[in-house]
Amino acid sequence: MDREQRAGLQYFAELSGTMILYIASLFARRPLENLNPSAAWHGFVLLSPSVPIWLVFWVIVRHYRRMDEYLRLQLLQIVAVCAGIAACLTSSYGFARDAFDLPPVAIGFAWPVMAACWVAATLIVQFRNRRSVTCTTS
Amino acid sequence: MHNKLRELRAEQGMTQADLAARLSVSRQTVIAIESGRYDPSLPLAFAIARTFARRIEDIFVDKG
Repeated sequence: MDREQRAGLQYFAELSGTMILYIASLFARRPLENLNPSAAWHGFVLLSPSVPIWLVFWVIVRHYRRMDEYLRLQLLQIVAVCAGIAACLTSSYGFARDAFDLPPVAIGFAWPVMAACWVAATLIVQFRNRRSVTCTTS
Repeated sequence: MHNKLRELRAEQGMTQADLAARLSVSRQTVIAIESGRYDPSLPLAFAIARTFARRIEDIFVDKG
């Protein structure tokens, strides 16, 4: 196994671990939510799913630091395109809400929307890079 | 920028994976440089030059 494969496997393992932790914390939180709301630990229980979310960020930073310069550039392009799509989408939805009387969106939608934007940005960046190969080699 | 990386690698009988391991970069990076899609940083260009025992300007040629 080469350096690239090892880094990819490490990223996959770390990301999977944090996602499992996130799902487990969501399920673990449920039965404790209404149990003694005045207790000091109650707030920590409600906040517990945010810990794996911060861990996901940490995993991505670790992965970034393992990358070489070209892969870092690609990742930064993906982040930039993702941020652009997310900004356009959220501001457009704000105007669409006024125009078509759409319901407000819960903050819990932020994660799936960001994930969808990330996938779209990855596809756009990869497509553009493939096109530039075709252009330079033709 | 044009480069002669593919030719030099072929001369030495190296695979893209071999070169990537020598340079401590990913194979994707070697592919991107060879196809002219990515111009490496100065430290990486020096590392490439050292690997093939050439000067940077013998490997990378300015299009302009």
